[in-house]
Amino acid sequence: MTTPAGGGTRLLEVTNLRKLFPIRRGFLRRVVGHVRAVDGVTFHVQSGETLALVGESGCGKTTTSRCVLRAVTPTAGQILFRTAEGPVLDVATLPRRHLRPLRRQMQMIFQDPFSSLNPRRTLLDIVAEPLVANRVGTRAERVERVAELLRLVGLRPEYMRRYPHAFSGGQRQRVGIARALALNPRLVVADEPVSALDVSVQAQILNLMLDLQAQLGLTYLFVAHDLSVVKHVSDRVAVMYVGQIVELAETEALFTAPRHPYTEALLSAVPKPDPRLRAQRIVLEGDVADAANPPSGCYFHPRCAYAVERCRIDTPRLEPVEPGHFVACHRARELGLRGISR
Amino acid sequence: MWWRFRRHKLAMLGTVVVLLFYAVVLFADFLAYADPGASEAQRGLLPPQGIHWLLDGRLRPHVYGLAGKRDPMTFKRVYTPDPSQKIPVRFFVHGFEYRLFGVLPTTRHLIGVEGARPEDTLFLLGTDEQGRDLWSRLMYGTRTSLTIGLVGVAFSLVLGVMLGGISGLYGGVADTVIQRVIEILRSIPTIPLWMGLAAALPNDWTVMQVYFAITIIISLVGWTELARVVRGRFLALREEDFVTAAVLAGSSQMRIIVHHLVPSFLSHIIAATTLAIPAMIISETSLSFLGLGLRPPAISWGVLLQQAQNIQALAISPWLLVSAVPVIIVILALNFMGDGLRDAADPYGQ
Amino acid sequence: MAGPPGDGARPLLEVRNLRTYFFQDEGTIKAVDGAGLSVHAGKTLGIVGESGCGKSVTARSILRIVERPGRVVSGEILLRDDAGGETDLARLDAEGREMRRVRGGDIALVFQEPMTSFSPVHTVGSQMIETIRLHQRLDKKAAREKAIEMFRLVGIPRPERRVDEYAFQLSGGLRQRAMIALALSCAPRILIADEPTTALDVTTQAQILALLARLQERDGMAIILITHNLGVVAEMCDEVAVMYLGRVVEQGPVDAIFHAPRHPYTRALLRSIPSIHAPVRTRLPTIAGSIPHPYNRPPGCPFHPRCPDFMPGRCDRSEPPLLPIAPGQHAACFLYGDARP
Repeated sequence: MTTPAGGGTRLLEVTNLRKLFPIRRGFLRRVVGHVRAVDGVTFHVQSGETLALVGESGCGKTTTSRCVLRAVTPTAGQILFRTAEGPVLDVATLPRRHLRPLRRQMQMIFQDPFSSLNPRRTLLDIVAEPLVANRVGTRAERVERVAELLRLVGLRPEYMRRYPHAFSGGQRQRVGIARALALNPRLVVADEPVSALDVSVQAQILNLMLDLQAQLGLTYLFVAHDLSVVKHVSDRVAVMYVGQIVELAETEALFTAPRHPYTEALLSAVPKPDPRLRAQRIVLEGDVADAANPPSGCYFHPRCAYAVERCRIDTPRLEPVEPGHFVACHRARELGLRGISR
Repeated sequence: MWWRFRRHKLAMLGTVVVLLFYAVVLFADFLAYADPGASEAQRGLLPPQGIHWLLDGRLRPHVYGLAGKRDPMTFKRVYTPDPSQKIPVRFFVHGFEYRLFGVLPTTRHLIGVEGARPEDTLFLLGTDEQGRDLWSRLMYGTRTSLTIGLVGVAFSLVLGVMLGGISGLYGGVADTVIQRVIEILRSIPTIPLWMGLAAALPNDWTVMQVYFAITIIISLVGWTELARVVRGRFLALREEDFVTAAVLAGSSQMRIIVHHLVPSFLSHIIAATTLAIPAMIISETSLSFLGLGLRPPAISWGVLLQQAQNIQALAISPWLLVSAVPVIIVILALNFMGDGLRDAADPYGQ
Repeated sequence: MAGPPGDGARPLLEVRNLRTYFFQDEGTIKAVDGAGLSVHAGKTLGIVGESGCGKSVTARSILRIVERPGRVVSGEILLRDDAGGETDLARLDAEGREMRRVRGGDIALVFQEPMTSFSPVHTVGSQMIETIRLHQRLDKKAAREKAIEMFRLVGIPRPERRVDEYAFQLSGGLRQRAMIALALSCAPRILIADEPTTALDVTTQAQILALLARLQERDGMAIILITHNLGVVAEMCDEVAVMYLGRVVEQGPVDAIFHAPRHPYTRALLRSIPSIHAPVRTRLPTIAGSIPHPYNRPPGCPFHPRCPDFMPGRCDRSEPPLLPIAPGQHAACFLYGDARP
């Protein structure tokens, strides 16, 4: 498949997004500090592409995606969304009552196929919920639409009167996808959509997501920690570390020629399913930095094998090293880092 | 949930017992055979009369008449059954008039001594000091005590769900205030609190007014437990992905509460409510026992037990204590039922 | 006989025809239904499979810590000591003294979620000291020294201070290191690691895997690594057993499993995993259908409803036995012949 990264219009443009969670202590619940969950993130998503946000737990990828949907209200920054009707709206500051029409155009696929479906409602109730909430169609029309959606995600429409507990994890995830597609959204935020599934089912769901994108012209913001999964679905990848994007590039470029030492270590750490490739892995020392109390300079410098004096003092900015390839590293141009060979 | 509940044998037994008791509430007038207020000093402190079922080998239920004698040593009246006097007991007889379910006027009663001489009487559980039939009074007392439990729980439920819901849903200042109020209420010893409140009731209030006032006093403390349950469930459910999904689908807050939150904790509420009823009943009984709750001419278990305060009377007429039996049975039954419901609602909870 | 022999030396632990069933009101779940395995000293055996394949229950059966209503129904679990003696763990009393000596002494276990394996009200050090003193004659001070030494061995920085901390004060990676230190404190001959890195991030996972490999090289213990991640298996294991619905469907040397898989399930599984080496944005081959619920296990070969090589009248009638198909490699599939006519 080709990567339609160029040409398309920008559906989503996130600028300098920040989300601080206050840390409260004591009887009076005074704020004693902040967790910088998202700390100045800038990226855009083209119409029709898949942008992956990857990183380890606590890197802020999930918070970023929730801000985009305004499930979490950001502390600062801009989230411009181009609506189907034309005007560009700032999701970050839009008053709550104006959010509802916008939500028809951005939907979400959840990680956990068990907690994301209400166990007391039938598939029909679950998939039709967005239609009912937005007063779309009559009851008969909604049943028809749900049947169509279930077929679209590869489930038999006869199942619509059943409850979620009758289905396997993979089938439930399909239901979640059908619900997300009910209102014909333009942007779908997928938060680790396959990480809770069995290996043999992961492939089915990833294929389904690729097919639906081609069929319906969807745009995905794909949040994941598994780089192998990311490679199968995304056009571009943004790597996050402690609330910041450290590298953003087209998938092929990022995997074969990473420019940030953290990306290199991340790629190297992925266990390869081939015993003949037992490579000399780069094993990073220490733990991910604390987002409430990040180190000075580059947040990655205490674990970085290539760190120099400057990394301890100056915070690097996300800058282009090549067209479309952005890196936040002082030594991006001088280092020759190892990627994944084919 | 029903399926899991049915496997809980003790809880099923409790449920049956509870249903029987509430049947008594509905049919109290029918089950009673004497006007609970009718007193006659001549018949004070009569012992229970046992029913004899067989007469000459045929089913002819009857009781023996009582012959009263004055004990020359103590000057007390002593009653002994007189087997020569056989008073027949009949079913579905006519007695004093009442309205079934408060509407249908009728005079039918389950049992009674019909068409007999006025001195032929039936006292299944004996009489109190004023010669009132204890069985009939117990039926009416059951009605009062059990409805006070229900009405009190209903008050608590409304308060608890509302305040707990606000607390769990909005959080922040409202949550902090409500939680502190709950803690303060729960830290006050209940009996002195009730005593204070009950003492404030005007003396000239009617039975009905006192009844409602007592109910409200009792539920003032009862709602806190329910509010905590509701708040906890709200907090847990708010984090569930399916609630987020509903928000993102554009569902209104009302729709989310009605369609997603309430059904998910309804079973917990039912269980918590069931477990709250016994506390209510005990509260009423103890208040009335202390003379701070309902006062005669109202009849409740507590009022009946109040007569058993006198140790001397008790030594001679132990049947006065009989109203403690239903208290114990119904509270055990409600607790079993509530435990079963709670286990069924949340098999992984404590 | 289900347990395929290794090369030459007798295996340290051999599991034959293990059956562990869960008796529930709704029916009996055959979580492990005739599994066989063998582990050699100094080697790593990987048990892979998806949810419900019985890999964790197998490990728990070996240690005899299956929770009720589960029970080891039949089979042999042979543990061999250095002198050549054999103990059948399946016959021991699960709560008895002998079994308790095996647990933590001969065989140690590392869980997926280290948080729940540590008591929240005791420091990690005090729990370790207790374990050490349970199996070794050491006074408190010596045991504490030993705990600190173990912490240093597993790469916990500033071990003298960490022993006095509580589990919740440690990061996920450090907790897992502490768990490994606890498991290794009595020098077990076999370490069973049940999804030891599943709850961890990739970079932390790499640290833990490297640690396990280093410790194995140092102590020569056998490791049974239970995981659903084929990448971890390829990196770590010498031998691999692939499980599906309570049975071992294929076992062999790691290179053969990854480069010459014979069982259709192994092949399909390997093809369907997302690979970091794949070209960008590619569809993956999939396995049709989903894993059946353990209540309605298909008759015959459990994989037949999803199998591309399904032979009607054969695979759905009888269960294929685990038979040798290549040196050191075994598969349970009628494609490679049938012992019975």
